[in-house]
Amino acid sequence: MPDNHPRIHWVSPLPPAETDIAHYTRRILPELAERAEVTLWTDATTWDRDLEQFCPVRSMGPEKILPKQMRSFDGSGDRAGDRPGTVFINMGNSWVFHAGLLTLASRMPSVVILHDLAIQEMCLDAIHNSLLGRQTYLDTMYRWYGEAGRRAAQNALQGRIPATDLSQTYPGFEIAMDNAVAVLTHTAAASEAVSARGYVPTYQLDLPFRASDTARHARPMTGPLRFVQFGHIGPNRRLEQVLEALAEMGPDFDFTFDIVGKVWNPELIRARCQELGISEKVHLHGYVSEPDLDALIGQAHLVFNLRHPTMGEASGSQLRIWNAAAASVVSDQGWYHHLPKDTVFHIPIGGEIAALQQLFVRLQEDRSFGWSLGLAGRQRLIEHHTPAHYANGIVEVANAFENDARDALLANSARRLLSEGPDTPRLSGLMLNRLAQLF
Amino acid sequence: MRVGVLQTQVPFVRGGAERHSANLCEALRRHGHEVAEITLPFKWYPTSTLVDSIMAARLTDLSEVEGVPTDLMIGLRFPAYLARHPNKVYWIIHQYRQAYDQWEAGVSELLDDPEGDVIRHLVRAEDRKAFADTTHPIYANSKTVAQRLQTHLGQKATPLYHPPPNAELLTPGPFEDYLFAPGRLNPSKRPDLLLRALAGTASPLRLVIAGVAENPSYLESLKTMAQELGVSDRVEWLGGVDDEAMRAGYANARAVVFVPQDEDYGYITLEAMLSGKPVITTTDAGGPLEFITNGKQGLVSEAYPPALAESFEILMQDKVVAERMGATGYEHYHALNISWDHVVETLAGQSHPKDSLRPAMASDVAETNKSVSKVGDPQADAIAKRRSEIVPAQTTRMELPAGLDCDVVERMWGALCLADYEAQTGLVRIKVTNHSLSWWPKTDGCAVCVVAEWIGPDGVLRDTNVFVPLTDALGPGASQTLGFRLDPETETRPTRGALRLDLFQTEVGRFTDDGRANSVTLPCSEEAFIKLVRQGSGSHA
Repeated sequence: MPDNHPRIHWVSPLPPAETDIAHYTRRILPELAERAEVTLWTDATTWDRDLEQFCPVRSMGPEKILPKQMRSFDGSGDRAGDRPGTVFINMGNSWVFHAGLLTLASRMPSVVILHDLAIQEMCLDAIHNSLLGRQTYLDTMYRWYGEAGRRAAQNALQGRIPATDLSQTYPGFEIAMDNAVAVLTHTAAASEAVSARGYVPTYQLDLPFRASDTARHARPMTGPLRFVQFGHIGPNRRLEQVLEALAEMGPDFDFTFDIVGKVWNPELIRARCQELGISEKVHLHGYVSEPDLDALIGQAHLVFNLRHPTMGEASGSQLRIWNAAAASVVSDQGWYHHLPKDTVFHIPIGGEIAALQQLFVRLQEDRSFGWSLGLAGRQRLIEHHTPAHYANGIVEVANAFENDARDALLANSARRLLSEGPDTPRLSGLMLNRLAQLF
Repeated sequence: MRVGVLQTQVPFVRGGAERHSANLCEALRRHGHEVAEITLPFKWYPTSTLVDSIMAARLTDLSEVEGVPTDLMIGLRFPAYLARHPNKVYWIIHQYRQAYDQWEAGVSELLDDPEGDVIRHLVRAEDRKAFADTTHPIYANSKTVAQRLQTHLGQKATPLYHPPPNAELLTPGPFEDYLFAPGRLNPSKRPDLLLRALAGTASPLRLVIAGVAENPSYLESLKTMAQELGVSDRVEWLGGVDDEAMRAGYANARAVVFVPQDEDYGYITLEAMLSGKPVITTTDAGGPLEFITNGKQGLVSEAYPPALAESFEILMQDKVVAERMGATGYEHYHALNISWDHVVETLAGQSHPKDSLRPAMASDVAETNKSVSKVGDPQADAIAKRRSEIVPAQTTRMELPAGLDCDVVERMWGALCLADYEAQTGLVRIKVTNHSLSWWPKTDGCAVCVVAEWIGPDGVLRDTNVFVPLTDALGPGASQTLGFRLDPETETRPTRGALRLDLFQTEVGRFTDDGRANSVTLPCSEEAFIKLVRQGSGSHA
């Protein structure tokens, strides 16, 4: 029976945490709080008090919180109408924000919102910081990926292979959905990957972004071309390749490149700029305020939003770029591959530098090259990515939770039964078939 | 009809729910239905085991047995009522309250389990699906249970009341000087509240508490509390009592006190009303409030000691008020059509009791046919021993027809019905029906026969005889009529005593021992009985 105003426990990093997932939560909160009885939960001890205008915000210890602490009641102690709630846990690849939430997800059946399919870095960092048990992790890797997966995980723990390499073969999202009732993703690729496991229902919603009233931009028609890259910038963001492409354009290629956000190794990047002779044209800003970031994007002739490797995650950064009606270039894979061609420049994985340089040449000839892409991108943002649309989807998922919970719990019971049952695959298969017929 | 009664079983626990189920089965049988009580074991902790129990119930197919469909399934308790059957009617005595009202009251174990909230979802989903799948209205055993269904699931349910287990034993009596508090001693019944209220009374008011504590240490804590409150000398702890003591406790009380928190139904309220006693209860008691209105059938106060103490004082100081309220309660009960006939007709459709002579209601399903022999009567003891061997009576003996000895183990079901009885001529016709799936065998098999017994005017069994072996095979659902003549009553030969006829199966025993058939009883003198058995087999039709 659908509940027009379901109870939702929304577990997420919260502003001012320096992660786009915190911003995403803030983005959808007004609309979500209109449509549901929301409580925000965080394992941080501080949060932006502005959030409390929409709903209660509470801190919790993910390793020990219990339902009795999550019950809704007003100050007078009236506990009438304490309907069952749906817990949504936002999962990303940063151990700082998500290691605790992974612990909660393993204890409390929930809807896991997978912002990233590849979460091995988060898992390995969590282990190194004693927030995830090593043996628990290895057992889970074995359960989902077999002996090969377990061995690979062990190699990663011992530093023999980087986490990114591990993620290519064993992305690790299954670790987060071990005890899930359902999974919510933001891309078709992620949805397919989760569905392929046949473990829990998978939902897909377009990532939300609150479009500004207008696209404020001031792209200069003279002077240096302005380029921007922003966000949590790791090696997969192809920054080094961008720098190389820019440098090879020669000293007459006039540009300014603003890098905003957290770079994985700023000293490495500065040294590389020095080597390439472009230090004076490249500016590392670190994190800036959102208005300042939007202003920089608004002035950019091209924004770099490359990802390789990518595990199919959606890009909140791309939505911000579209909001500014800015032209952007993306790697032709994963979620980006499916973006309409009239909204972004796609470049191939192999031959990035050459492809980028072709774009640079076109921009140099015509600074308005790419404006139509920016406008089309903004149009797509408005049609598909509104917070209201997203909040409606969350409410639908919450309304389906009761039946999904039943299916998930009974499926777990069946798995336990089969794991303790006859050893022969044929006999287990008989039971499995019968259970499939009944449920 | 073949009717199954679906009940949850917590091993080693026997309480009101178990008696309720047994009584429903008995009532269905009296209406001529073939009944099976089907119990599924239930363990609800840890939560994974709760889920497994739900799974087990969902996997259980009760649509038919050995190719014979079960016509109707009556579901009483979660999760047993989730078992699969195409024609289920729900008469809810228990949902899984931990997922519903006990959660809201803050006393659910699920609150302390990380999976607690999602378990609530599961239980609700299962209940919703179960109730949506039936074409029958949903019934609840009380308005309180029906209200919970409405509040938590939006499910309409109709209250369907039933009598308490010992309804026929209860009678009004004098209004003496104590308050009677029967029932299980556990925190949900709040005996501590009674003690605190007692301590707040001025008059030398007595409280008689009848019931067993589920946890012995809890009883000790209550007694310690009574001591600390200074009321030990005013509390009588009866512990477990038999039916007669319970009856007397109700009958002679000034009033009955019953102060549970959000009780589903509350037999105690009805037992008090049947005993013509007012009930003192509280505003949060739940079930009792369906029958007790403040100032009419009793007193309803806030659930704190001073308010309750005031209720105690009112009824102890004013006997007339207590009598008036008790009478009002008695009349109210009888006006509510609380009967097993009504329950059976509602759940299983219109039907009528097959036998006007109704056996006593089962307060314990194992206790049947035990009241005939009196303790200390040597002859009765000898008869009882011989009875168990089915040896013919002292004065006569009839040889068992050949072929009665056998090694059959299949238990037969049947019914006896008084088809015709002419008191003037003594002509009797008894219709015997086979309700089993198999044929009742002929003489070369394990025959079913009719056992005749004579019970003296003092209620003691005096004679037993195999009366009429059924020499004709009787198929499933088939009947045959036995005819015989009893000497009628005359002025010089008054009829005292009774002839009782039972069905009996060699190697298995008396059908009535485990509810597989009823018995028929007729007035009969000993002389007539002896003459009857000397006649041998009667005529068959």
